[in-house]
Amino acid sequence: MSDPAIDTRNLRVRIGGKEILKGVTVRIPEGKITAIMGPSGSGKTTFLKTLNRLIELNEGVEISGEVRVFGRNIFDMNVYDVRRMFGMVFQIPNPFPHMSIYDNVAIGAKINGLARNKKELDEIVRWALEKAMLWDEVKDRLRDPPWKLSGGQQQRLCLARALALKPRILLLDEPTANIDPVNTLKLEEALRSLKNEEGMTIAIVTHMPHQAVRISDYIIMFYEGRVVEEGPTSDIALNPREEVTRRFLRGEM
Amino acid sequence: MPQLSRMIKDYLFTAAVVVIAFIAILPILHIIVYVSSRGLPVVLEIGIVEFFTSMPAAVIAEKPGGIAPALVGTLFMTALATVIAAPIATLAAIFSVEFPSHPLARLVRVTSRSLLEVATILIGMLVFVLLVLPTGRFSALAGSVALAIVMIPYVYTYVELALMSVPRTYIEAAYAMGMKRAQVIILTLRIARRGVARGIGIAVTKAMGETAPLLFTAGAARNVIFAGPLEPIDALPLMIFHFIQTPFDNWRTLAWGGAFVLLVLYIALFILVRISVKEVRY
Amino acid sequence: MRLARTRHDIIVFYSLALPASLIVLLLLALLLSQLGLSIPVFLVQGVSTYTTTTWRPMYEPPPHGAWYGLLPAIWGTITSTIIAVILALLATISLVVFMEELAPSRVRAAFSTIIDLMAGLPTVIYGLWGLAFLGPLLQDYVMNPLHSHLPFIPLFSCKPLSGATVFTAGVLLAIMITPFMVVVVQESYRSIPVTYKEAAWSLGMTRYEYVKLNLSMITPAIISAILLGFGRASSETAAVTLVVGNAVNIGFCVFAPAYTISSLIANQFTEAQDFPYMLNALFAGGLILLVIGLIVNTLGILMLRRVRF
Repeated sequence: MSDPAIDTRNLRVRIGGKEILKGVTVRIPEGKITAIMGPSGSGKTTFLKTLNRLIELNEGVEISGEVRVFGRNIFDMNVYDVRRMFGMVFQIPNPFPHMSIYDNVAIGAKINGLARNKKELDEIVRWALEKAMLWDEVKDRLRDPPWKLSGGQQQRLCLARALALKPRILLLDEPTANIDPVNTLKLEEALRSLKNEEGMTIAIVTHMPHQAVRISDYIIMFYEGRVVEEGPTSDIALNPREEVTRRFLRGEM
Repeated sequence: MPQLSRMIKDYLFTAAVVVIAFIAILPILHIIVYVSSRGLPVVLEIGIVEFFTSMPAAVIAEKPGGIAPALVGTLFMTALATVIAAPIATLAAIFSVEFPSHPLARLVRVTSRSLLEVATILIGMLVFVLLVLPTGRFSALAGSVALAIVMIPYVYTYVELALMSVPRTYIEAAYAMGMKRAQVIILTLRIARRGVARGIGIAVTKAMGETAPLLFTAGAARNVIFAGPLEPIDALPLMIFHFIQTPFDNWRTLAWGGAFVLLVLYIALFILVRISVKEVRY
Repeated sequence: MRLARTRHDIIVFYSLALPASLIVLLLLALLLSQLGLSIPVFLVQGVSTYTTTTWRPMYEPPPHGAWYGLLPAIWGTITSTIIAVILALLATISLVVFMEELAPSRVRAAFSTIIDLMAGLPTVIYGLWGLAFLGPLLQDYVMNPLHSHLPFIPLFSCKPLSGATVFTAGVLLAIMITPFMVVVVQESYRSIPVTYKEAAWSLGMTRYEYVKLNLSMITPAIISAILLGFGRASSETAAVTLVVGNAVNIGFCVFAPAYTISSLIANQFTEAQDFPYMLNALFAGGLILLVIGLIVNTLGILMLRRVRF
């Protein structure tokens, strides 16, 4: 792999005394979609949240090991700067309830100082909503509150909100686990176009093997806090080396 | 079918409970009617404008005058107390929510609860020692500080509750976007604004009706409508409390009129707080 | 690995810790000032400040001239509070049972609103009503009849001279503290798991037996409510001062006027500017009120934790 976007070495994470990640050494390629798979409790979400140092919001977190993002050690950086490199979409859609659709998307751009005036802000909001495949559905009701949208639409709104930050890497934590199949496919299409047209690096945690095979270029398989297998999707899907990977792909976990 | 004696006990019990429950709420209903019946005629007879804009007259005067000093005093001191108490209590509540395991957070929580339950006259005595004795005078400021101390635990309790009920996922999303701590706190406050407003509203309602904290702080100045924040001042509950204990008809009349006004203010605020701020739907 | 705390976080921490500390300091100041200003009178009168009944304001200081005994005020506080808590408990249990078991939802909501209204009503209005209406009412319909028919009972052995008595204060306080007690008991009652209720119904219990069972399960909460009510009643000032009569008195009869600690302070504070040591005596009264209040409320909260299913 040429310079990876993310590079971890022997990453160990303990929360409240319990070791969740037991020495994870893995690389996530730039400009590709990487699926992070594994059964529940294998540490996938913890891994994701360590990358943008969100895990540190919990009490009693101990981290050792190295994580480099585009060559920089994130633990040497200001934590807020680290987080601004990433955009994150969560498992359950969580658009800010007290803001309109427009403001939800705009806030990312505002806090990162990406727009100098209202016109530039409008452009970023439109761009983000278009990339999230939501623009057509909300362009006439940008002032509406988010609860008027369906679950799937809210999730695409959250994607737009993340995109407005103009992040270099997108992190998604089982983003389609709670939405219907039609919206799932829309979201996947949005991710694909982000990779192809914007060169976005995407890491998506999923426990649905079909999804992983459908959209990813690279697969990382987690099991019990460790990476047991990693490689290009085509390799892993056809020829999984490990037993757990095989069972997972067959849907037995 | 249970035996007769059990049925009779059950019936008597039910009857007793219903009767006592209704008797228990009778007083407040009667109070509202009674105070209105004695207070409203006073206001009408003196004339609404005069009642609200003039000062109490001398005891031997023909007409009683009005309650302007007390009214202005209550409005001023309640407002000033809110300005003092709301920020302090809100920030303290934010502290308890942001750093829950810090010993200071637990200390503040316990302290707030204690302050909530302490006799308000003791709070008046504290401010007397802190502000009145050193300066040698009663003042609107002292009264406001006393009311502020009464308000703080109420605002603290409700703001803490409101902040804690904001779902964690919004906070995570905010941090994930790279928001700094202060920005996330402000966001949380805005999501919880209904609870915060309610807490402040409840505290204001309480402060407006308090007498004891003002007894030795405000000074009960009745010959001037408003002399300034560093001068003695009257307040509605204080005036009522003092005047009703005097033997002078004029002043007792004003006490009843004032009580009616206080009652109306209270009920109005009560309804307002219940209706609350625009709801935030999740 | 050490996780960096940014300068921003540190600024936020100290900005928030400041107001938080202020609140703690306020309580500390309260405790210290009450104690500090009581000490002078302890130096000249000792502990008998709390155990003697004479109240003799004079310009010459104690112990040879004036004397400030707080026992009558303490007695008045305790007596009025006990009367209040007993009556309020009766009302509280009835209200909770009524709202939780008997009332249709509209009625229950109405009662809830009315109880909230009671909780916040300015106390001086309670006092006014007590003075003008409740006192005379009790005098004519309760105190005089009880005195004329049952004078051999020590509680009723004196004839009320007006509506302003310890008894009246007790009744008024009962009305005022009921809403707070109701909240405590009701919350606890509501938290009884449904499974116990279902078991009781399936055993064929009558409503009376079933309620008794529920109440027995939340006994600590009831005790907590009693303690909380005790604390509230003893702290009340404005309403009590207007109806308690404000006379230095002590005895078994509750139909007589008396002082409570808070009404003594309210009444005598302005006098206290002229007489040396009287102010300190009043602070000594405030001190014991503070201590009683803190103890009772802490016990109340601890009791609440013992409700377990």
